[in-house]
Amino acid sequence: MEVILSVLQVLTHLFYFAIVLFGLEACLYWLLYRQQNSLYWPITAAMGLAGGLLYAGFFAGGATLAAGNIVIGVAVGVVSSSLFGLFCRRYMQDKHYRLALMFLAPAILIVSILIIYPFFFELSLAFSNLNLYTVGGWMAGKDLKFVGLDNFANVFTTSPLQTVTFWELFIRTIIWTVVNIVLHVGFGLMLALLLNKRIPGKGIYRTLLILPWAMPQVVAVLSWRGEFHPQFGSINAILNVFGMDAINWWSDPTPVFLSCIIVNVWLGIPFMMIVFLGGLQSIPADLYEAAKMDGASKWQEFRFITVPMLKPVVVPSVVLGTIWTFNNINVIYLMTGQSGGNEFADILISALYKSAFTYSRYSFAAAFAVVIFLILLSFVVFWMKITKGADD
Amino acid sequence: MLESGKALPSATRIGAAVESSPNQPGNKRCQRDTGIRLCDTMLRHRKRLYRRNAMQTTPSCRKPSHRFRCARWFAVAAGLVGLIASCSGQKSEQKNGDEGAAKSAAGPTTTLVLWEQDADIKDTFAAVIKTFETANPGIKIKSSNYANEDLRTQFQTAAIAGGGPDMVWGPTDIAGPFSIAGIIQPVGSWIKPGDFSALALQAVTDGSGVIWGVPVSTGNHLMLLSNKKLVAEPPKTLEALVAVAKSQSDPAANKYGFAYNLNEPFWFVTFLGGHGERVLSGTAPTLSTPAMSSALSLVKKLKFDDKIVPPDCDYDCADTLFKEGNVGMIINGDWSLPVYQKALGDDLVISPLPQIEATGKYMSPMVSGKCLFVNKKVKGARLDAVKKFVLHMVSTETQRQMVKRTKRLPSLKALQDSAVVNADPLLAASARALVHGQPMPMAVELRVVWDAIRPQLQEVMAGRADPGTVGAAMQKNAETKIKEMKQ
Amino acid sequence: MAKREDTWWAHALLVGGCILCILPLLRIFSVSLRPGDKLLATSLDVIPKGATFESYVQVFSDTLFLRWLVNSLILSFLTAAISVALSATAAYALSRYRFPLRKSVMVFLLASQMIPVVVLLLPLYFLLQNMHLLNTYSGLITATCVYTIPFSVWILKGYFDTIPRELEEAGKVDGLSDVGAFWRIVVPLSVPGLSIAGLFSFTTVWNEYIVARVILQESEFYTWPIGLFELQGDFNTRWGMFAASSVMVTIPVLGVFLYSSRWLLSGLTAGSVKG
Repeated sequence: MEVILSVLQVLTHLFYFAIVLFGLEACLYWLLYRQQNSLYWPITAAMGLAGGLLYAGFFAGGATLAAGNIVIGVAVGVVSSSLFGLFCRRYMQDKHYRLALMFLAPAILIVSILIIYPFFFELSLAFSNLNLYTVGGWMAGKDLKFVGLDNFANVFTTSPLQTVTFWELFIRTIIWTVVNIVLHVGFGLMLALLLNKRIPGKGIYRTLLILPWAMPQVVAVLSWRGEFHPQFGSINAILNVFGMDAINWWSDPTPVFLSCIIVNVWLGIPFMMIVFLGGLQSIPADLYEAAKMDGASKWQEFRFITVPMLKPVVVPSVVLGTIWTFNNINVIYLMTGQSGGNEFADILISALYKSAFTYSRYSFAAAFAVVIFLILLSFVVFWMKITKGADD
Repeated sequence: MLESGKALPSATRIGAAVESSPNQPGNKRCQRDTGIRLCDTMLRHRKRLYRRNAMQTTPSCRKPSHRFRCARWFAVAAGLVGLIASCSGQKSEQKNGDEGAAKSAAGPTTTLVLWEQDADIKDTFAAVIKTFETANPGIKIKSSNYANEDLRTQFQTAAIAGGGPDMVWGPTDIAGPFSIAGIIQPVGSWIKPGDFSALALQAVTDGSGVIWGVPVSTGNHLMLLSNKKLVAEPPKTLEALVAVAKSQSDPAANKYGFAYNLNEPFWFVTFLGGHGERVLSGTAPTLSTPAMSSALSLVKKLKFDDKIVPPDCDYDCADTLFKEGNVGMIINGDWSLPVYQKALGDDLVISPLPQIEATGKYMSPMVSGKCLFVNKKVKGARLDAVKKFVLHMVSTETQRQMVKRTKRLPSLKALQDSAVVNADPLLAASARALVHGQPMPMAVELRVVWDAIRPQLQEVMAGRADPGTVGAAMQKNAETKIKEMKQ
Repeated sequence: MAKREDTWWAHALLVGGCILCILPLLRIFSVSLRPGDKLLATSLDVIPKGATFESYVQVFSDTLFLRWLVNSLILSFLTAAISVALSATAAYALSRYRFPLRKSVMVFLLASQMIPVVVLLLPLYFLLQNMHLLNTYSGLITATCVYTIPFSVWILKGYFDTIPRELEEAGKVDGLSDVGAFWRIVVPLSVPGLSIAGLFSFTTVWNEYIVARVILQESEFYTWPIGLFELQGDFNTRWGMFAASSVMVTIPVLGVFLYSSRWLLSGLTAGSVKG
């Protein structure tokens, strides 16, 4: 019975989605393709009106439907839709531009709505002083103090945890990201190349090698944490078998970090492997045959055929993988014992989480997040300039 | 190579177009780089794809009447789905109920939302709620479970946004941040403080005497647990404990006589209490004291000199060893008693933490408990319903039931030394272990103190720091963090 | 008859990799069989002493596990479908049409991934509350689409780039519209890319905890990660049930992978060639 209700609810939501999508595309269609229609401006204005009413009534006010809210909403709606109509008339005459807009709109809209407002909210928080002590006043309507760049100065000069500094964290994060990505790509490529050959049992290998990605990440990390236990874990047991000393994976600084890297590499390889495998399969076998007829060695084949043809698939994965690894909080947080753990393996994001959320330092966290964002943004822009990754 | 079968005018037209125009850029590349065979493959694929199209003269949706036909079907389908959806939507809206908006309950049934963090006592909780609902037909309680830290962060987020549940059931230490953030309301005006035991009430009262939550159970305290099979009689002093443990330990064979969560401050403060010190004085940390150095030296000695504890013991390690019967004595809290009772049965012996002969003081665990908090935004008729529920939870009868089933000590003064507690040897022993406890301060600075102690404690326990000097570092860190928290 | 390329070292490496991948799962399996909720153990047996399936039974009887699994399945499939559909159209536009701000859009999509999600929880809560999307499937789908769409767009753009435009032009000669060219030509040829994007979205939603925790507030709507953490007490975690549910949760994902692998890795040579 509950399942039926669930299913009905799902259908409801699908329906809402479809309605929103349809509405969006219909509005765009009108704005872009029906510009010669005599009712263009009235209907555009009507769309703005409807949008404004919807916003004021449904979103911004809820129960407290103030007249002021409605008027503002409607005015903003009408003005913005008229402006957009003007924009479309002036710039969107090219057929391709229109199509591109209609194709792009839903995806960009979803991403923007849930990113733009929070981002600007956080940006404003970064310049104010919202913390546990001021949040009560803020809820009651009092304004927050503008503190300028104080929070940013704190991010760089004070320690987010007990003794570790921002620069230490930064360097550790860089090492973490680089080592992880290199190993992910390296091992992923190697496994993909192996699985691309004609060997028996390929299906079984593929299924088993997917396991790290398929398993719930939290459980896998906790399980690995158990493996690294200095007394009862299997890693030290294996080391003992080979005659080496047991390493204190939980309390010594470098082994803690090393264990986190090992676990993250283990977690990330299957994903890269699958992406490379898909890319490898799209390279026609004839190219290799032709190369072999020309007398190319395996290495030359790899360098001149495989690598260039994998590029369009590899580049986005590497860029996104870098961003995700840089901001990967789960592995470090869980491997070092969660909020009661040590700070030897912390990277920027986990230090941010531990320090800011334990003490509800919202503004500090916002400033820290903006700093991380700027670091990543500069890296990506720099990378894209170098590799011209967006050009193909 | 070529598709045999029906004549496909357009497809062959494409094929002919492709093959006969070497000046087509794609064609040239195709033949030069990839060989004839591949072009044929591409051709085959194109034909396969276009077969459907090629059978008609024009694609269907291009004709105006066809376009409307498509749209008509879509409209009908949308309408049907919408009809079904709106019916179910209403049903699910009712099911969701009110998320706890600030308006008072409209209609005869008030649904109170409660967030709790106590999955362990789920069944008892459900039973108590049912009793309440039957006695009060106009009020329904909807409870959701949240994990540890999540309860704190999620409630804070929701309450700041003006939403959130009406009540929160959680450990007493969350009263600190919640009271400062202004998201819970004081309850002193409608409960009878005299009804509750001093220890229980102190955990939810702040420096100025305002009571922020209603204690429903007391405890959460550490005690000495031993296995009768290995340790005939639990030691009463720490020195005796060391002697007993030494006789059972063999570090070379990875066997130890004593285990506890080595690096966690919650366990460490018991040793500190045994040297007569507390970590907080009001809201100021007091970490740089001679007692701190002595306590640190003591725990270091237990690990390195006496070698009676496993070198890297954390909570799970001690827990597992005790359950397996591989260690004779551990320090653990009242939450673990039911589990150990199941695992060890009659071999489980509970005793208060031992006395440190050198100082003459008993090791002192922190005592807190669970309590109910009320969201600040709850007002009017809704608040009355909440009050009814809360008072029901701390009524004598309900407390008796909960004590019996959850094996947690009651918060009501009247029940402290009562039959229901004494009848159960587990509870009686647990109550005895409370005697030398210290109340856990509600102040939010306690969290800072934990975080300041922890890394230094770990360094001492790893042999990398000197017990005499880390106290100053702890104090400095704690003070810095407290200052930063207020910035 | 294709030549078999197996060499002993290839097999050795693959087997080594598989063992490494299976190890933690075996450990979790043995924890789930262990009576008494012991996470660590002094012995390294896979099948522990006194092994029992009690934890598995308890998971179904003590918790709403089945309901959580069903919720997760529904949400994951829905999000994967919606996310892939939206990303495919967006990626097509980015790949085929040159319009101003094209590069900015791509950088914007990347940039949306750069802000740590933990920091965005407070404004996200405000936003979703105002949009009345809290505690609903729509809210969770929307919030997760934000994280799956950028990657899907980038990877699908890469796949679309490898499909030569001549195919679509030929189709337009035949009378297909632009949308038709996309739907009838490009989409069937890029099924591997679409499956990767779909799998990625599926796995992301399946494992999602942080955002799901904020949005879903009632037990009946919980996805399995939220439900799983119900088993983690203050200090006392019910490791047996934790491990048992983890084992059971892995199975549907493996099933989805196995089923979709036939799209992922077959028939790619025809057509998706960099001409």
